[in-house]
Amino acid sequence: MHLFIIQIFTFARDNIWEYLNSFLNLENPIYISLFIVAVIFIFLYLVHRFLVIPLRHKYLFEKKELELKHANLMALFSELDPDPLVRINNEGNIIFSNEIANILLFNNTKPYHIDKIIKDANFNIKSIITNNCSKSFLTEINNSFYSIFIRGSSNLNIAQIYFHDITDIKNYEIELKKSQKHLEDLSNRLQNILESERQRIAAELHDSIGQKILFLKLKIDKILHKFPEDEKTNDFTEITEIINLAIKELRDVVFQLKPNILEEMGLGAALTTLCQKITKDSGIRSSVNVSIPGKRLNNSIEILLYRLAQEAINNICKHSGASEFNIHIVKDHKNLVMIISDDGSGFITDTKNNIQGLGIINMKNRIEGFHGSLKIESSPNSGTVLIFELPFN
Amino acid sequence: MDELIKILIADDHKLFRSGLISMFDDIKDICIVGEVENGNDLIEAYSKLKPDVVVADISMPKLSGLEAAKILMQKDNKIKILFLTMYDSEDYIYFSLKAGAKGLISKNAAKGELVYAIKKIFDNDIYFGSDWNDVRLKELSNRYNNVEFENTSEIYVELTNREMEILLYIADGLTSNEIAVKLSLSKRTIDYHRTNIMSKQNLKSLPELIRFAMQMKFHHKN
Repeated sequence: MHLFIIQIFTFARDNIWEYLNSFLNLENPIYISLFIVAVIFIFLYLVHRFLVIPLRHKYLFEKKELELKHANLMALFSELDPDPLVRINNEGNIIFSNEIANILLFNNTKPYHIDKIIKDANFNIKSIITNNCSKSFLTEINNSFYSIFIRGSSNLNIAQIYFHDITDIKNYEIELKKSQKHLEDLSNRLQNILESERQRIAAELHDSIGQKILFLKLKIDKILHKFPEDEKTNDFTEITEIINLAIKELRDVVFQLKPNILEEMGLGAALTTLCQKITKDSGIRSSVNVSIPGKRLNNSIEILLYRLAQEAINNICKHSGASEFNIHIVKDHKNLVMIISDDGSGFITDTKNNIQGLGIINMKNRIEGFHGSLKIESSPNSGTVLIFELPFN
Repeated sequence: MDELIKILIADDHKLFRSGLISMFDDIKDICIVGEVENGNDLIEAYSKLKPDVVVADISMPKLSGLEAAKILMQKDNKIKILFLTMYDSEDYIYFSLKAGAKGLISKNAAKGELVYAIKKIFDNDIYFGSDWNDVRLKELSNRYNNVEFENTSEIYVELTNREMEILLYIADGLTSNEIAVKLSLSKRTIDYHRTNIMSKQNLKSLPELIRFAMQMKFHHKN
């Protein structure tokens, strides 16, 4: 046993030297592959160190330079802009403003945050910048009106705000609206004067000249009765005839000047007569219901409602092709409401585009002149309802 | 000799009144018992003087002849009123008839016709001009009655509360859009209710719906 161990040991000692010798030999292929790998690593390192890093540096540098150039350009433009311009960062802090902005918007004390300038702002600066979007709106700053345009730039992480002074335009608009209102008032006043003047003339004709002619007629009738039949000459007949003609003509003139029935019998009778006439002439069925308890309405209100109804009925007969219409007038504690409805073809009530006939515009103007309003409910093929509302006092 | 006919004259034009009075001078069976110049005075004078026939103008200040006639009719439905007016067109005839007048004649009429009219009315007849007979008057009344629409408080309805609510808003002059806002509903829902109301009540058109809404409002108030 002992001998056997010594034998193995001796064998191992002889062979290990042999193995070691062959392993440590430089011709071993492991060394060659290790060498190749090392060379590759070194190459890669050198490429990265001397090629990639300088290139990246160069790119970043160029980018920064470009941005700077861009920003400079923008700043240059901003400064050249004759309108106020403000640049803000994504928190809304003012980072730049041009000369004119300092004067017009800030009164030479530049605020820190844009909120101090645009008080009613309802935009999200962060989202405008990150999404590169823009927004425009109108606002009032220091008693002037500005049209504002905000443009976000995610590259620069800023937003540029352009202010355009539209105070003049706004003032013209206000002026225009004022004169429009003035014109409307004037037209209403003219209408009212026309109406009252007509009435005055009609009343004058009826009360003075009319009554005098009637008096003459009564007197002549009386004289004529005293004469025996054979003594009545042609002159008498002629006088009677001319007087009759004069009365008839006077009556016609007065009738044209004002609907006498309206004054003498009131709105209900006048509208009933009007509708009855329409029904008789055109075959369009109609009904009238005026429930105004108590005293008669003010003269000018009665005439207004009568004229409005006249206009509405005119429209119904001309354009709607209706077979039926009705007029209702009701009064409650604060309002007088006149509802005129028909079953005609109707139309599109488009308040935005104002495709409304002159008749409707006229009616609207007239009732607005009395602080009332006109509402229209209509759609094609389902008839029309006109609702006139008049505040009552 | 005929009975004496007592006449009360109401006209706001003094000149015309005096002409009229002087015209009756030589008519023996007509006697003027008084003259007034407005409707209020007419009512007062009528109960004092008890005339047989009132000859009145329609157009008068304070209270018109028509309104005075209506008030007098309520007190005494046998009252005999003859309107003497500038106009004698059919609308005047209809509304005079409706107010309870027994006659209407133009101020332009000859003396003979006026006297004839007064006598006819005094004899419990009516006179609205030589060409207005009973048939024509009836036809006139029918024509106007068709147009004139009176509220009645007797209506049969079968509506839900919501439908009733909408109907009353319609009568107040609200548009479908406004009703929708008021009730916090959509306009389509309002239109749906409107269609339902129309089919329930057998209303065939928009004017009929409005008319029904007005009836309901009147009904609701009383």
